[in-house]
Amino acid sequence: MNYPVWELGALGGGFWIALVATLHVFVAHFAVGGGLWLVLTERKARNENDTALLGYVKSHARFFLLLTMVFGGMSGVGIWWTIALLNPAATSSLIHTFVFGWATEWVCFVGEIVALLIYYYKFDTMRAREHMILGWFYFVFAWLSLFLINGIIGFMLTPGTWLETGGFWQGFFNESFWPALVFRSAIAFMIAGMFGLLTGAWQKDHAFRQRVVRWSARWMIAPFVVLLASGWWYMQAMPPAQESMILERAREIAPYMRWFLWLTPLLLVIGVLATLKLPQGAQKGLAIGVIAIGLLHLGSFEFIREAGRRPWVIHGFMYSNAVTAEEAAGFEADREKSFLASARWAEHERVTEANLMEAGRELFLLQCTPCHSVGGPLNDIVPLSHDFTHAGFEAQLVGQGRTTDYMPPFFGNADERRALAAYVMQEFHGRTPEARPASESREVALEIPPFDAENDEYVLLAWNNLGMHCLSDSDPWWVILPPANDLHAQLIRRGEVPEVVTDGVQIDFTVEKGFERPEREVSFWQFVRSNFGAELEEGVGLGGHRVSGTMELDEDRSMFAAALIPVVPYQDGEYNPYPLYDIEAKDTETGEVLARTKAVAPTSSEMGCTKCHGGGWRVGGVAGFTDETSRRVLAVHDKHSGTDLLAEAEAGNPRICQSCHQDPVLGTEGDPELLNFPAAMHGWHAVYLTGRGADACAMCHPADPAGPTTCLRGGHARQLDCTHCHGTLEDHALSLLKPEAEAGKEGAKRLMAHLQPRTVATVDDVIGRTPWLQEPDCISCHTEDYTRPDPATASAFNEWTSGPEELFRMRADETGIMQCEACHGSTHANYPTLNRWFGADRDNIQPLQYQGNRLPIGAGGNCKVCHGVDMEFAVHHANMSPEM
Amino acid sequence: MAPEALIPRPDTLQVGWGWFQILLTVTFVLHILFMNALLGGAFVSLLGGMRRSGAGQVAGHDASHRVPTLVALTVNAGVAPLLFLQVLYGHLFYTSSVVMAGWWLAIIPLLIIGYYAAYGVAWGSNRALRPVLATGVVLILAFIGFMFVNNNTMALVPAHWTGWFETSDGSLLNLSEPTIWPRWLHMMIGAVAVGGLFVALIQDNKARRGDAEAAKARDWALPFFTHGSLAQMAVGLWWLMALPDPVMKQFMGGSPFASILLVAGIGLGVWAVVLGFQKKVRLAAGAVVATVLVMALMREVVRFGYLDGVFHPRDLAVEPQLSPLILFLAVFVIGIGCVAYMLRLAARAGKEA
Repeated sequence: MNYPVWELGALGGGFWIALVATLHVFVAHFAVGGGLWLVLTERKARNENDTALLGYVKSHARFFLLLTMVFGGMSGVGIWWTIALLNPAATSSLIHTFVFGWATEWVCFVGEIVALLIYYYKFDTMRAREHMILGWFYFVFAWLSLFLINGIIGFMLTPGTWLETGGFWQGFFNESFWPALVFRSAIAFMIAGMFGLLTGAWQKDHAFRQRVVRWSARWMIAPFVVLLASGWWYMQAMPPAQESMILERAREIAPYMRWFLWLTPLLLVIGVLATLKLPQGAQKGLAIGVIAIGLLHLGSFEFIREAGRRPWVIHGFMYSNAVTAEEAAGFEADREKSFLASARWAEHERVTEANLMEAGRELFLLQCTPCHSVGGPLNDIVPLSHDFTHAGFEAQLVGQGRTTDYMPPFFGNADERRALAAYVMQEFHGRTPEARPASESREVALEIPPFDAENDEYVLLAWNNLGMHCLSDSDPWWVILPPANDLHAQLIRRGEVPEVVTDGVQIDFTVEKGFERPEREVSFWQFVRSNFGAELEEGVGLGGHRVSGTMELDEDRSMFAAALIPVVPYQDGEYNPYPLYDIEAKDTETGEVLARTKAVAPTSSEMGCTKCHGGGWRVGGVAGFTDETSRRVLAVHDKHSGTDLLAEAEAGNPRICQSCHQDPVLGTEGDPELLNFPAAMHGWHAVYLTGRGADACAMCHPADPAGPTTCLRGGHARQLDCTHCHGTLEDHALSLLKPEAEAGKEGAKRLMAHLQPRTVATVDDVIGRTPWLQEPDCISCHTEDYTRPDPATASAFNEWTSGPEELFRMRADETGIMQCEACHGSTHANYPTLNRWFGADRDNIQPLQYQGNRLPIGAGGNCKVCHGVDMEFAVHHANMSPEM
Repeated sequence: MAPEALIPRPDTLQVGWGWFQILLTVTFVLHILFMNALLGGAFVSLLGGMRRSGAGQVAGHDASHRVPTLVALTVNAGVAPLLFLQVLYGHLFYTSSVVMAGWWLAIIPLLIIGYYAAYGVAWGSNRALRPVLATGVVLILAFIGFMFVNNNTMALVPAHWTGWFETSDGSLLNLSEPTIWPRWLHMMIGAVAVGGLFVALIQDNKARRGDAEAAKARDWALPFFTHGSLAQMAVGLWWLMALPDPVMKQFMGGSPFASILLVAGIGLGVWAVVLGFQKKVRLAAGAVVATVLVMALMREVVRFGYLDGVFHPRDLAVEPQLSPLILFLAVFVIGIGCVAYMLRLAARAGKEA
C-alpha cells in the first residue's frame, strides 16, 4: 500500500527471490562450513606433514574464493537488491528493525573478506601458525554472519514477542533462533563436505583422491545426527500457526516437504557411498550429483520455511503483499473501505464502470503480483484462476484468507472485488461475466381434472412433500442427491363427516409423457453401485419404484405414499423441473377409478456449482452437471481437504458425499469426526458468500426468482424470500455448525470463526439444530391461532421445530388425520402458487379442480369440498377462513 | 496525481538521525575511494595492458592483479553506506529503485560477470582474451555507476516517479534529470583520475624500494590523475551549473557552509593536482582523500537541497533502542582490531604469492 509494485508478468510471484536466494543460500552455507573445512584440513595436512594435502587445500581455497567471494558475496547483495525491489515495505521494516544487526554483520563481512584474501594470497608465504589463525578468523567471522542473518530470517517466521514490544533483542533471539542456528550450521558443514567431494574427485593421484574424498565424505556424515536432532527441535519450536501451515495448510508446499524428507537420507547414503573406494568416474558423478541434490535439499528447506510464514512476509506483522496487520484490521472492520483510495500507488481511487479493468489491473498489481506470476513458473495466476467464473472469483475474494488462510484476505470493497474479478477473468481467460439464457414463461395448456361438487363421492388430494427435490446428476464423479422424489396422497370420501379412505383402494401415479425413461437422461444407474452400494435395474429408484407405479399405504399418517421415485427434470432431453403426475384412486377389487387428480413432482438439477466453479450447465444451458464442473468440485475438495476423490472417481469409483459427511435425510452415518453434510456445505460456502441476501441461496439452490426453476413459488413468494424462514446464509450455516462445534468437531469451530450472525446479535444467540429434522416452524410466524403475520417483520429463523414430527411436511391437522400439505400444498409451493415458467397454475391444480380457485383446500370457509355442507366451526385448525 | 502523495511513509529510527548521517558519510567516502581505485585502476590497467612492454604495461599488469580484490572491497564498503542510506532515505530510495527495477537488478548479474572477468584478466592465461575481458570490466563498472547515478537522483525527485503509471515494468531511467550526465561523468572521470593516482601509488611504493621500472610506470600513470582531475573540475562546474537554481545558489553564497565546502573542495582538488604534477604521490593521495570527504559532504548538501520542503531525516520519528547501537560499536571496534591484526600478520608475510 505504501510502495509501487514492479510488474514482472511471467517472472513475478517471487521468481527472482527464489532464484537468487536458492543459489546464494547454498553458496553462503558453503562459505561458512567451508571455512572450517579449510582450516581443519590445513591443520590435518600440517600435523601430518602432508604437502600433497596442503597443496590441495590451497587449490580448494582458490575454488572457495572464486565461488564464495565472487558469486556468494555478489548474490548476497543480490538478495538485498531483490527483496527491496519485490517487497520494499518489508525490506524497510527489516532494515529499520535490525539496522545495527545488519551493520554488525557488515563488520563480519569485512573480517571475512580480509581474512580470506590474506588466507589465499599469503598461503605460501605466511608462517603456518599465523596462516591457521587467519583461517580461524575467517571461519569465526563467517559463522558470526550466519549467526546474525539467522536471527533476522528467523524473525520473519517467528517474530514472537517482538510483535508486542518492537524490541531488537526479542525479534532477534526469536523462538526459532537457536534450533535454526544449529540446523543451518549442520547443513553448512555438510555442504563443505559436498564441495570437498567435488574438488577431491578431480584429484589425479588415485590413492590421494581416495583419501581426500573419504575425508570430505566424513563431513557429510558427521553432522547428520545434529541435522536430524536440530530439525526436530526446529519443528518443536514452531508456534502452532506456523507448524500447521507447514504440515497441513500450505498444500502447495507438499512436494518440497517430500523432497526434503527423501533427500535428507539420500545425502547420508551418498556420504556413506563416497567413503567407498570407487573409480574416479563414479566419484566425479557422485560429486556432481551431490551438489545438485544438496542444492535441491537446501532449496526445498528454504521453500518450506518460507511457506511456514504464509501468508505473511513478517509473521503476524506484514502480509506478503505488504499490507500490515494494522491496515488489514482496518479493512476487516470496514468491509466497504476502499483499498485503492488507501494505497499511495493507485491511480484510480474509485472503481467505476469506465475504469473497471484498469482499476482491476491496479488491484492485481498491488495485491496479487507480490506472490503470483502471470504465465510464469511460480504461483501462476492463469491456471490457478482457471476453474473460476466471474461470480466464483468474486466469492473467492470474499472468503480468501479466512478458512484457507495461506493467502491474505482480499483488501477492499465490493466494487474492488468486482473489478479484480473482471480483470483476472477477462485479461487472463477472455471471459465476460456469465449470462444464462433468460427464462421465459411457457404457454402450457393445463388440463384441470373434472370435479362435480354435487355428485362426486371422493376428493383425491396428492402432493409432493418438499416442494422441490434437488438432484445432482454428477453420478460419474460424485452425488449429493439421487433422483428420488416423494409423492403422497389422501383419498377422502365426502360427507358431512368425511372419511379418509385407506382400505380397499389403491393410488396409482403416472408420470406425464416425456419423463418415462429417466435412465436415458442421467447416468445414475451406471454408477449406483459405487455411489449407493445398490444393484438396481435401470429405471428403478432406490425405493423400488419406477417413475410410474402404485403408492403404499402409510397407516400412521392415513395416507398413501410413494418414496424415492426416480423422476428426473428432463422431458425428452429438455429441462422441465415440474413433471406432472396423473394420480388415480381405484377400488382394489373392481378396478373402478374412484377419483383422479394431478400433482407435480418438482425435481431440479439447477444446482449452481457451475456458477462459481465453472464448467457450464449440461442441459439447455440452464441445468445439470457437466463432467467439467463435477471434476472441478472434486479437485477443490481434494485440495482443501487432502482427499483423493478425483483420482478415485477417475478410476471409476465415485462416492456419495454423505458417505463421509453424515446426513439425517439420507440416513448415512459418515465419518463421526467430520461435519454433517448440510453443516459442511453451508458452513464452507457461507464464508465465501457472506454479506448477501437470498441471492446467496440462489447461488446453489434452484431458488433464483429469475432462474429456470424458481423453487419458491407458493404464497410466501409474494412477499418473502428464503431468508425470512431460514435466515441469511451466515445465520443458516451457524445454526447447523453450532451443534457440531458443541460436539467437539474442530472443523465447525474453524468455519464459525469466520462467520458472524446477522439476524441475531451473537453466535451465542443462534439456536443450533439438526439438519432436515429441525427446520423453520410454521407456528413461529403463524402462531398457535394460525394468524397471518405481518410480512414486514415475519421471521422464522431460530425457531426450529423440536423434531421431525413438527415439520410442515410431516404435520397433520388438529384431528390428526388430514396432512397439512394435503390442503396447503407442498413446502415452498403452498397455495396459492405461481409457477413462473411452466404454466402459472401447474402447482394449483387441486384447488382449481375442487374449488375453482387457487386457495388452500377448504380456505375461506369452503368446507363443502369435503363435507358437502357448510360447517359451524373449524375442526382442522383455528382461523380457517381468513381472507387470502 | 501530486508526486508528493506518492512518497511512502517512512519507518522509525532507533537512534537520532545524526548517527546514521555520520555513518553514511564516512562509509560512503570509504566506498567511493575504493570504487575510484577499482574503476580507475581497471581503466588504467586496460590501457596499460594493451602495451606489450614498457611503463604502461608494468603499471597495467600490477593494477590488474589488484582489481578483483578492489571489487570485493568496493562492494563491501558500499554495503554500509547503502544500509545507512536506506535507514534515512529508504522510502525514497526503494521507490526509485522499483521505478527502474529492471536496470537496477541488472547490476547484480553484471557485477558477478564483471568480477569473474576481473579474475580472468588477473589470472587468465589467454593474452588475447585479456583486453576483451578488461574492456568488459570497465564497461560494466561504468554501467553500474550510471545506474547508481540514475537511482540516487531519481530518489530525490518524486515528480520523476510518475512515469511508473505508464511503465510499471521497471524500465524507466532518470534521463530527464539535468544533472544526470555531468554527475555520472564527474564520477567516472574522477574515478579515472583517482585510479591513476592509485596505480601511481603502487608503482611509487615499488620505486621507493629501488625499482627503476616502477618509477617510470608511476610517471606513466600520474597524468591520468593530473589531467583527469583537470577535466574533472570542468565537469564539476557543468554539474554545479546544471543543479536546480536553489541548490546551486547555496554553493554560491546562499549557504555559507555549502559555499565553504565548494571552495574547500576546489582548493583541495587543485592542491592535489599540483602535488600530482610534482610527483608527490603520497601527499597527493592524502589531498584526494580530503577532497573526497569534502565532496561527500557537498553531495549531502545537494541531497538536502533537492529534498527541501519534501523530506528531511530530522523529521523521522525515533523509538529509542540504544543497546543495538552499542552492540554495533563494540563489534566495530573489535572488528577493526581484528582486521588490523590480520593485516599485520599479512605484512609480516612479505610479498603476495
